[in-house]
Amino acid sequence: MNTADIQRIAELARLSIPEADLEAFAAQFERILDYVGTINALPMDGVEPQTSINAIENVTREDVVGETASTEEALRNAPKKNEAFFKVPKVLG
Amino acid sequence: MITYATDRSDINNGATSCAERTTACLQRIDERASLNAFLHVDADGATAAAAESDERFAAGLARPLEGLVVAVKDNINVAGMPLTCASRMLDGFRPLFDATVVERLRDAGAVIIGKTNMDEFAMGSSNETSAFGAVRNPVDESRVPGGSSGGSAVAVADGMCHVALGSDTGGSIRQPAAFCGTYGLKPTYGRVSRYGLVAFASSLDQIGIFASSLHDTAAVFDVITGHDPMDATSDPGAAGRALDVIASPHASPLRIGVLPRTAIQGCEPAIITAYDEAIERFRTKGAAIIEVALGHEEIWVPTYFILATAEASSNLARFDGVRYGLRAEHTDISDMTTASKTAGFGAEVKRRIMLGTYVLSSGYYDAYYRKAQQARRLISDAYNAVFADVDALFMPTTPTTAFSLGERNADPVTMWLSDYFTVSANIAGIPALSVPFGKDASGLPIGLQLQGALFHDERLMQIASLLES
Repeated sequence: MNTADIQRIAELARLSIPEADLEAFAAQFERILDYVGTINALPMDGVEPQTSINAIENVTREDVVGETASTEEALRNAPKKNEAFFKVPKVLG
Repeated sequence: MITYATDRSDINNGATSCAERTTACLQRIDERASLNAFLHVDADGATAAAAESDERFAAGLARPLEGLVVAVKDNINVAGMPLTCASRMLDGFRPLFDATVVERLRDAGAVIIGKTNMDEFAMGSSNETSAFGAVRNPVDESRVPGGSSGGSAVAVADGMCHVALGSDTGGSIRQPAAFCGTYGLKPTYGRVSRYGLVAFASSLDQIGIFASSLHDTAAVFDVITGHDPMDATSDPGAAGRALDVIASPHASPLRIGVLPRTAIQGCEPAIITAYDEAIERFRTKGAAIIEVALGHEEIWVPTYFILATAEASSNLARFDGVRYGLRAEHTDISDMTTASKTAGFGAEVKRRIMLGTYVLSSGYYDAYYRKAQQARRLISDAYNAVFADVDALFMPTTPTTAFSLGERNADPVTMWLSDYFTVSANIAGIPALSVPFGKDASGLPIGLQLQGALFHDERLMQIASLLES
C-alpha cells in the first residue's frame, strides 16, 4: 500500500487526502488491511455467501399515489436551490 | 437512574406528575452539561407534551407509555428537531418526518426530550469521534461512555430521561450500556423499523433501547416493534409482548450456554469475576450451564469491519452536497462532491469510507467482501447450531470497563477490538441484551451479555430477569 494506491482509493471514494498525510494514512491502512485480511486464513471453499439475514424477498406494494413530501419540503434542506429545483454547478460544458 | 414503572405508579397515586418529572430531567441535563450527552434539548416541546400527559392521566385516558421521558440518538429523525449524526456534514439539517419508532412512542404518550450525542455517523466505540465533542462517563469524567450511542447511555445512566433510543450496528447500544451501567437491547434484525434512521450499514443496523430496568426495556420494546411497510426489511410479525413474557414463569428447564475460558482470557479480572458470579446465580436459579464453542471468534471483528465499511461507503455516498448537508462551493460538480465530503466528514468516517471503497473495488472484492459474506454464513450457522442446544448464550459485553479518553485513538484496530463480544450478534442478526452486573474496584460498571436465537428477544429479557438482585 503506497501513497499512489491511497490516492487512487480516495479518488474512487470522492475524498481528498492532503499530500502531507498520505504517508501516515498508507501505513495505517496497511495495518488495517493486515488485520481484516486475517479472514483469508479460514478455508471457505464452497461456502455460499450470505447477503442478508432475513428471508424477506421482493417486498411490493400496490401502485397507488400516497402522501409524500411537497416540493417545498423536499427543498428545505438544499444547500442551493432555484425555484423548484436543486441547483448545482454546470454539469455539461 | 429513574424508572418509568415507579414513576407511573407515583403519578397514578398523585405523588408526582409528568410535568414534575420532565422538569427534573431538564434540570438534570442542565446541571450535567459537562457530560456533553445532548446535542439538542427541546424544553418547550417536552414541557407541552408532559402537560398533555398529565391531562390524560387526570381524565383516565393514559396511554401505555404516557409521560415516559425519552432521549433519541441524533441519527434518528424527530420532526421539529435538528439531526446531525454528530457530523459537520449535517449541521443545520432538519428532518421532514418522525422515524417510525418516534411516531410509535409519541402515539403511546412518550415525551421526547431531545437528541443525544454520538460518534460521527455512529462510527466509533468511545463517542470521541463526535464533531461536537466527546461525551464523558458519568462515573468518572476522565473516561469514555462507550460508543457509538454514548449520549443515550449517559442520559439514562445519569437520570436525564427514563429511556433512550440508540442504534446498534456492531455493539453501539450494548457496549455503552455496559460502560455506563444500564440495560441495552439490540433487537433481532427486522423487529424494529429502521425508517427514519440514517443508514450506516443497512444489513447490520438496528434501533434499540437503553433503560434502567428490564420492565422499562420491555414496555418500550412492545411499543416500537411490529411490522412497518416503510421499511422493506421490517419483519411482518406482530408487535412484541415482552411485558407478558417477563412476568410469566419459565416454560422448561433453562439451558445457558457459556464460553470456554480461553475465549474470555483477554478480559479484565473484575469482568471474569462478575461473569462467574452471574453464572453461579443462573445455576442457583436452576439453570443448566453448558459450555459451548461457537468457533470462528478470531474472524468476528475482521468480518464485521469489511461488511460494515463496504455498506457505509455505499450509504454515505448520498452526502454529495446536492440535496442536503454541507456543500463546499466549486465550479465543477465532481470537484464539488469531493470538496464537500472532504470538508464534512471527520477522520474515522473517511477512514471507513476508504476501507469500504477498497474492499468493494475491482480486484479486491473477492478477497475481502465476498470472503466476509462467506464468513457471515459460517458465523450465522455456528449460532444456529448452538441455539439448538441452549436457550441463550452468555458472555461479557466488553473485555474491559470504560477506558480513558484518548487511550485508544492512536490505533484504529485497538479501538475496534472494544467490540470483540458484540459484533457477531449483528453479523448473525440475532437479539442481544447487555445487563448491568456490578462494578470494578474503581466503581466502573460491568455489563454482561445474553444472546438468543432470532426472534427470541422476549425470551432473552425473561432470562435476564434471573440476574436481577
